[in-house]
Amino acid sequence: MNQKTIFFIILPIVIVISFYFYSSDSILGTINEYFSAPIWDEVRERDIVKNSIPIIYQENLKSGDCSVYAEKFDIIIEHKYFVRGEELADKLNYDKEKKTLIISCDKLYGEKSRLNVWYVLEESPKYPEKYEYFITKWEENDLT
Amino acid sequence: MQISRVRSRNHSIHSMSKLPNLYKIGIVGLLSILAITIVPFSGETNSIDGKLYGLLTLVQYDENRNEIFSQTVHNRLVNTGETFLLEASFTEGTAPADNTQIGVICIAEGVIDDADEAETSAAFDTANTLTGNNCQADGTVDITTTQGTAIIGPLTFAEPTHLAAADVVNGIGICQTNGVTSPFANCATSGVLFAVIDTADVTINAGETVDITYTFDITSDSN
Repeated sequence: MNQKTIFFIILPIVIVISFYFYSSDSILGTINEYFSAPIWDEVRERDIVKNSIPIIYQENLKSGDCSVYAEKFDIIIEHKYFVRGEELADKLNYDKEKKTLIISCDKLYGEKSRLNVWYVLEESPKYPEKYEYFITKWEENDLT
Repeated sequence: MQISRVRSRNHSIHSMSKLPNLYKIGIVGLLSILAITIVPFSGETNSIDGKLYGLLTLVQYDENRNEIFSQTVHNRLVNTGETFLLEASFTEGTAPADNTQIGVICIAEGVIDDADEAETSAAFDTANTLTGNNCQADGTVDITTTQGTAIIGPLTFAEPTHLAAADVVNGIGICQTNGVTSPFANCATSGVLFAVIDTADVTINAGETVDITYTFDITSDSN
């Protein structure tokens, strides 16, 4: 068997095995975790901090973005466990004085929506320091 | 012209002779990728990882009882809490009576050291700058609705009963109960500190309230 044949036999095997281990606890899986959004079911419950606040629609800005009032956003990003809080504040164009965020209008549910901010603790073996924000319909007391 | 053709032919022959080496390098490269792919990132796995933990859920309401903030965050089980669990579970002579078991939530403002497992109820009280009756007991901790969990609360804390207006809650202590349901001042009043939780800095303004639920979970995979 010549080297060319061996190469073309090994190539698909490596591709299949790499795909299999892509989301596992291997080096490749860990690299994948670093660049991908967290899969929350894979993170221990105790390693997740879940926050939510109401956001109130203020005005429609150009290019499909809306300004929303988020009175309690600062206590989420300032918590000592949220090491990437500032990054989220920048991403949402947080105005600390006015307590406003800029969010795509398509994501909002009318006048009042719920902004959920979940993040993973630094010491977590899975997805450390990862965070995600998402907006859901406002319903009172749905976390209790 | 002829010299150029000969050079070109020689170059092609030279490239062809290098081709097998390229495949050899490719094979070695692929095998290296394979090795990187399957080697585990961490050398050990713990099958019981994630079991036995405590979580606190805090929900803040405005004066009209509209929710304005909520947070779910993990606890730090302190040494006195671990000792309490062991003494309560095993026959070593100091099993607590029902009216001295874990069932109290104390709110706190100050430097709550959630990294220190040696934190005690006395140290917690010393760090706490709240002056009201900041502790409340749950008379019947729920351990029946969901097997494998004990749930204290939700207990509602409000000013002026439990703290003053504009006070900040930034830490929670889970403490031993003293058999009374009326609010009282210090965790150490009733006994040991079981766990501490470092929460967001929640400012409670006049008329606002905060509901706190503590869940201790030892659920197994098969429950």
